[in-house]
Amino acid sequence: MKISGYFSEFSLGEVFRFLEQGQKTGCLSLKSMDESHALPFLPAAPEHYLFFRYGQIVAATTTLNHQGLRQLIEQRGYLHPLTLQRVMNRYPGNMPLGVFLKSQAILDSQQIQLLFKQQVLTPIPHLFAWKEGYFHFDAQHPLPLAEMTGLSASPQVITLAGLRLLRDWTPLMDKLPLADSTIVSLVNEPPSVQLGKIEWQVWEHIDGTTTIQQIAQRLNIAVLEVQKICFRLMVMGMVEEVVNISSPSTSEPAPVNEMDTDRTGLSSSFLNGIVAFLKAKTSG
Amino acid sequence: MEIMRIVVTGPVGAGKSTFIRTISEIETVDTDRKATDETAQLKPSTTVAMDFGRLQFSPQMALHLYGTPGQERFDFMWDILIRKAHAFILLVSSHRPQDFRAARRISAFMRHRSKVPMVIGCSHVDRPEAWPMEEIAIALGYLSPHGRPPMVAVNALERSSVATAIITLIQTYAESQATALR
Ligand SMILES: Nc1nc2c(ncn2[C@@H]2O[C@H](COP(=O)(O)OP(=O)(O)OP(=O)(O)O)[C@@H](O)[C@H]2O)c(=O)[nH]1
Ligand SMILES: [Mg+2]
Repeated sequence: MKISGYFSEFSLGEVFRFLEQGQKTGCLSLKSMDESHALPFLPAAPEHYLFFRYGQIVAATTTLNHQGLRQLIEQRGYLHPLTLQRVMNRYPGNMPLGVFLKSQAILDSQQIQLLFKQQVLTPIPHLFAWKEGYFHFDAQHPLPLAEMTGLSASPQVITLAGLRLLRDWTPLMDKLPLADSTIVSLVNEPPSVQLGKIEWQVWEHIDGTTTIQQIAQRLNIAVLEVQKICFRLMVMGMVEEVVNISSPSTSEPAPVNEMDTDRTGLSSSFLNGIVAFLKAKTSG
Repeated sequence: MEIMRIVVTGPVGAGKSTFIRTISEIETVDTDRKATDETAQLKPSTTVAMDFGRLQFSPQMALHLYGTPGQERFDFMWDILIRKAHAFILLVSSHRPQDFRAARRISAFMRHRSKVPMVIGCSHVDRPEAWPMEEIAIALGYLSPHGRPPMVAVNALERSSVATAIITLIQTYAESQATALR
């Protein structure tokens, strides 16, 4: 399976949505292609690896040497390096390291959670600030159990956090929904993620008929702001954009009436005839 | 005279003009112009008006093929598409993930605004960077094969491949007609 591309073409949020909705398992490698890769909170490294299990993020590293989680444990001073070495000698490697350490009562749940936070939840949203990057997803890559805490994060939640932190939206401007598009909900229930106040207000106005522009007017906020919020909801897989036909005469989007058709049904003799005719063209 | 009108749509460079040219029996109306700005980096010429092709398979029966212009603009052309087309095929370049967004827009538009039967044709499958068809479906928002439009791999340069895609489209149309009658 070959899944690769550039952020300028297929943004990180869209990659995350793809992996989550496709319930993918494997390794997503990300290589920064601009200077902004040296960001606070983000380990300075030429490449980042995110591991997915059935669409959920289970680990993040900057090398493939299986030492990342060990180093975090040392850094946090949870265990003396020598003790950790002895523990590692007993680690059978058939379960996530975090699960093993917890089962041996070497670390407690809270410590494991803090490790996962430091490994995934805090740094990964900052990847959204990359202006350009190359991604490659390898579904064949085995999951590095020694890097895993046993916890997982929803890419949706990371995306929401990442796009909220984002200051410079320039690379995403061409990916935002259009101002005169209608936004349609794809979910029946209210979102399980925590929405902010304005995000929530926008969400409340999404009824399948109101355009982005109209939402902005009603809430008295900038159209661009609503576009950004709708983009977030889109890459979280909660809504989709339905464009409207722009009619040059009016500024209102032209409603399309399905009844308004002058198309007549085709006879079955016609359909059989054309299929037979085309079938002859499929050979030679 | 009985005429079936099929619209061939999709992002810039997906192979719409080629698709129509490959199967049409008349010299297609060439409305390609030297591409400007962004499109120019991708290909030297782009379609600026509708492509048109025709297959006359009996004195009383013909298939008309309309190709939408490359630039993503939802203007009067889409009005025509929805009112007059019997079916449409959405071509997507398998090797250009940057086009999936535009393709997604088109498919969402058709899903919500019209009941015209559709087939998704994945073109450029012969390229090494091509995404597998199953993954393109997910990238377009079709998470399960259930209720998803039929998907076919198309090489717009090959007549047999184009003919196969059109047959799939006609069968999809026939099924939707049968469902509508029930
Ligand atoms: N390898 C390969 N090349 C293709 C295929 N389909 C089209 N092409 C080539 O891709 C290029 C673009 O094809 P066009 O038919 O001009 O695409 P279009 O969709 O009409 O483009 P616009 O009118 O600009 O939107 C041409 O050079 C075609 O020969 C395909 O399936 N495989
Ligand atoms: Mg063309």
